[in-house]
Amino acid sequence: MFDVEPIIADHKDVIHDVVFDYYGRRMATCSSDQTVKIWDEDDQGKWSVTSNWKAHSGSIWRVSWANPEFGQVIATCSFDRTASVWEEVMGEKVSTRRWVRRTTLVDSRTSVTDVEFAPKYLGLLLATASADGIIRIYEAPDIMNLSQWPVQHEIANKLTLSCLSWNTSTYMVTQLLAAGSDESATPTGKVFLFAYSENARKCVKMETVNDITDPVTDVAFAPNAGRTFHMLAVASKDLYIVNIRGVTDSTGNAKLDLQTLKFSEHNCPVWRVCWNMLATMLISTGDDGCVRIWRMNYTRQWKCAAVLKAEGSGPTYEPNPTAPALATTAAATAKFYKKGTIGNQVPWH
Amino acid sequence: MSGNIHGISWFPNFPDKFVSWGQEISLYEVRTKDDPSQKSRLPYIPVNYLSNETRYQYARCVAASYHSDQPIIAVGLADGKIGICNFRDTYDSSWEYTPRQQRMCTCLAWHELDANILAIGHDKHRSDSCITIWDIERGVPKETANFFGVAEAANSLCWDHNHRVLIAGISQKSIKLFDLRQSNATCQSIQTKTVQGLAVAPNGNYLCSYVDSVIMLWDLRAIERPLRQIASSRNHMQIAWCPTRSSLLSSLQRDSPYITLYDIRSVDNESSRDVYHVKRQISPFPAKYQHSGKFAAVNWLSWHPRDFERALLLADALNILDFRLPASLHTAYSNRSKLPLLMQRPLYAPAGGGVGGGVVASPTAGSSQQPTTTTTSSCSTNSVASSLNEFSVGSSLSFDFLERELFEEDLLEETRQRAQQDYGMRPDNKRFVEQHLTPYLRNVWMTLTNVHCDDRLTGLKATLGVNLGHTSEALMASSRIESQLLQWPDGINNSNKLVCYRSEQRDLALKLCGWPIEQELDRFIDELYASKEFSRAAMICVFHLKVLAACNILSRAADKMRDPSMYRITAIALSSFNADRCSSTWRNQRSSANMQIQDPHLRAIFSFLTMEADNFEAVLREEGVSLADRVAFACKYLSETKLADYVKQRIQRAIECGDLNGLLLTGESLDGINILQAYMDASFDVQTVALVAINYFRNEHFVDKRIQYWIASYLDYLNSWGLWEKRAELDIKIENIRPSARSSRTVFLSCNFCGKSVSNALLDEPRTRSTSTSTNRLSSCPNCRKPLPRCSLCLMHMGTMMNMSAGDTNASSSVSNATELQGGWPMKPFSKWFAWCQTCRHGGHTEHIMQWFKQNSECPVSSCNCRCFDMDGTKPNALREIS
Repeated sequence: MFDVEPIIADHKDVIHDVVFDYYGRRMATCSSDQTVKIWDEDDQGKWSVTSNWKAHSGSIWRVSWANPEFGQVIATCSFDRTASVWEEVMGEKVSTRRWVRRTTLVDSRTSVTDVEFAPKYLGLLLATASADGIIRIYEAPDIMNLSQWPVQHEIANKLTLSCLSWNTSTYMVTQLLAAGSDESATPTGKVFLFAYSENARKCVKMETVNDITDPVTDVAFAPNAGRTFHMLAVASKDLYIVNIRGVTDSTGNAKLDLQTLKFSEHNCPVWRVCWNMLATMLISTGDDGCVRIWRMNYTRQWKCAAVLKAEGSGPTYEPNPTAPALATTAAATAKFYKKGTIGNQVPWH
Repeated sequence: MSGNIHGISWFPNFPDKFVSWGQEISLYEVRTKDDPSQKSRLPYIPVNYLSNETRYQYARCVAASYHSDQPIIAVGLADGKIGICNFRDTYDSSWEYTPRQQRMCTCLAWHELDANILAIGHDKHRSDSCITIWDIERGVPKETANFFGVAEAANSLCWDHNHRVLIAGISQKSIKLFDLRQSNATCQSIQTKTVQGLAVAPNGNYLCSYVDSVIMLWDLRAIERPLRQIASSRNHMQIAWCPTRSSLLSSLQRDSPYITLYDIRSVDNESSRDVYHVKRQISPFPAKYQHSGKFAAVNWLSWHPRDFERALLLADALNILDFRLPASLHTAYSNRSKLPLLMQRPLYAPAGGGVGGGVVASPTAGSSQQPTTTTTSSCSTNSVASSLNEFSVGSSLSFDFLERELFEEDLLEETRQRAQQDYGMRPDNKRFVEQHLTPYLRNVWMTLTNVHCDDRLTGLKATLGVNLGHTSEALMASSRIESQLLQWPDGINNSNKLVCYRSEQRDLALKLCGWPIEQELDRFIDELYASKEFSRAAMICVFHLKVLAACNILSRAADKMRDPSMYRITAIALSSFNADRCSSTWRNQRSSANMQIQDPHLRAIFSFLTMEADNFEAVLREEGVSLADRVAFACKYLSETKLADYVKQRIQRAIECGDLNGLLLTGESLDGINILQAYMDASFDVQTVALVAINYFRNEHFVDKRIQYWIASYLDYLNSWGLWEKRAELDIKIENIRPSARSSRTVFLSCNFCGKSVSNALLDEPRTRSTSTSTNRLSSCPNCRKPLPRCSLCLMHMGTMMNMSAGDTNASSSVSNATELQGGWPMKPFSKWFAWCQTCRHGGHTEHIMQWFKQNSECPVSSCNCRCFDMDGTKPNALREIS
């Protein structure tokens, strides 16, 4: 069992992302109010903001922590077409700390929609996805110098991208990167899997998940401590879990075997997904403000185990059983008036 | 109540009152507390019906005024008449205005600051003007200054943020801005077709308008060019800014059950003034009504003027809903046991006001959301804060458990606790009883401890020589098998012959399965009895053909049990069991009996006693009996080929379903790794897998990629939990396995000058050497004689024994002696070692350095400003934690 702790973020606008560091003792949030907040947990388990700064000149979509091996480093991405890398340094005064911008990645011509540090074994790598459909992978060749981030790979896609996720595990498959698109016009697959191809010496698209054709807002690889299959959670109109198995076909080429499971309990678009450490729990947030917690039961089926909602979202008043029935004539008049509408009132201004 | 409702509107200065219009106009008050005794007038919202206004039927448009003394509305009718009513006075002709020519009234807009001023828009009539400004206190407008827009039609009207400029959509072709500050109102005009639904955003900068399916955004500071055009697939019906957000635009679309929200944001850097929007569609109706067809479309929306993201919705004629935008909850998984939920605002709706409770309480959520609100409006926000307090609908988090059990069993928390309890570090039978392991895992570990001998998990498959085929060795093995025809004990009378096999390997296998040799059987049974495994004891007795002993055990057990019936009956049945007589009956009843006899061991007893022609399938397939017992049974009664088949089949099954008990058969082998993998796939329990591998796969398979990956993953988990000691213990354990790695050391001390190893010399130093010589010798590099670094605090050379320095007491020397006595440990405890700052390269004895940094943050070397200790503390209180 775990507790739920409400935290008032006090951002001035919509919060877009919240991420914990490797140890779970620090938290970073970002918002449309163009600020990033860093939270630290004190000995009593209370969270408080220790840093708060305006990081971009547009909405900040995502934030990502680097592995602590590389220091206290985060990356942010924003609508202002940039992504930035920040490092915590000591301030002038004793035991004060502040975050300084180490670099701004300005390659994208459109909004940078997601940013994520690669798993540690790859070194200090950073992947960004942008609305023009390009995934860029940057590498800091010298981890002591975070101002140099040359682009290592650039993968162009036809569809605009909204999210990406690294597979942190290389168990049984090569390094994988998943990206999702929130394009709503075309009925094609919206989740793509990329891998580094040794032969081509570049990242290539391995697979498209054709079962998911609705706009995708979030993807998340489950941590894999050594299962033969990998799991990818996808937030779209419904929640999906894609089981991925690395297989080698008859010609000796590595292939991915996909199995897509769909869960439509949310009844509304799913917004964010995240896994726990052992991948025994999946947390998904819906557009209606409900958080659903999923677990696998003994038959290895994912089941929604709990729903967490903030009351006041949606009408709470139960209808009167003796509600007056509508007169059909009245309804007809209403229609007449509706059709006659020309002007609209805006009573507040 | 009669008629239907066409539109609704909150009163801007009465936070709990709203007006609905349609066939008639009604005034309602939302109940603060839901009182079930009073029936609500409306089905979906608890309201008190206050009053109605019957003079004006079928109003074309209605606007609620900003008067704060009484609720006043203006009503525009289809014949052009404008009526003002306050729901009290019976009839006042001065509060009615009729234009010269009869034409439809299209729009109304009250002035916020001067509450008596109303702007009226009419349809076109020849050369009459279409816009009228009416000060309701001064009688019907007559002056020409009050009329605008000659020979045109007004489509929509609104005031700008400062209420100086009247903005009007005119004749479907232009938006005109009338500046009323000047006597002859000047007019600025923009050509556009989007003239409907004009509204100024709460931040005062944006103006929106629409036509058909296009929304146009304008910046009032630079109105010449549209800021942004938003196209959608359906036609818009009504658009409105959410008053508690700086720029959230809502739109209702024709015949759509959704509210479309456009969150308008801007990029504000020097080079560009980009505006972008985030579109979101939400269905305001609770899921249970969604498919009832009751709420086919949202027809009208009225934002609450103060409450955060609250609105009234008109769904169909009478279905008014009180609606709040869903709170945006954020959550992310942390590896701690808390699930934090991030909220942009407190859940107790109107946020800030609720905290202090007073009028001067901190700015409410509403005003903090609008950084650009003028002082006047935020003052008024504060003045209503206290009343809002009582009004706020209690809202909080709620947890609905759909599958509580599933929710509560948490492998993660279990894993963490087990790690803290040294799970799997020293496997022996006693420890597993202490730890809170599931019976399954306890059983597995006990089986593995039994099988593990001579530092190797051999596995019965290898022990029994299965799968060696018909090699000479196998033949030799089979040649040594003695078969013995056993007599059923008296009374059983099973006509089938019972052959018991014995060989050296089989004896060993029995031992590995945990079964005793014949001579020690009684003692073993007593042990089982003592540990309350009655039915298992009975079963093993019966398998050894000691039916009487089994009867004894069961009858004795029955005395102790709370529900003795089953044991008692079994005991009676066994005492007078006659296989020949019973077997046919038993066989007929077996299928149903199998289901009804709950205890698998008792089932196995009966299956064994009634077996036909050495067919032991029923016993061997009894999944409830532990695999060890079944394999032991197989070793006793199965012929060589059958035994081999059985073992192979069991291994296959264990791999299929990920049963760790299968390791008993496979031992340390590739099949064993496959079983671990299957268990991992099924349970995600990397901890058990890694620990089994560390404990029992220590030989040639330890280097298998999979095993190494599991171990690395588990170590990573320990790291992220901060369980450093546990990780180090495990590391030591792993290091002891690797024979090659043990000899090589990875850390050396090298001299700064000659680059040769200093630590070798330190190690070679004989312990018996006198203090004076060792001190002298170690002040410099043994190779190049250059001085070694000194501790920056005590100024002693590195390598100097601290307990020999002058300042130290006898106590510390005794400590170091004690550590020396624990053979194998280095000569000095960690606190006496040297530590360096990786940045400034200054350092000294860890103990001294720790003391120094308790009080200081800068390097102890006088000229060095390095703040060594702050360098890698991830958090400010790291210092406290370490010290």
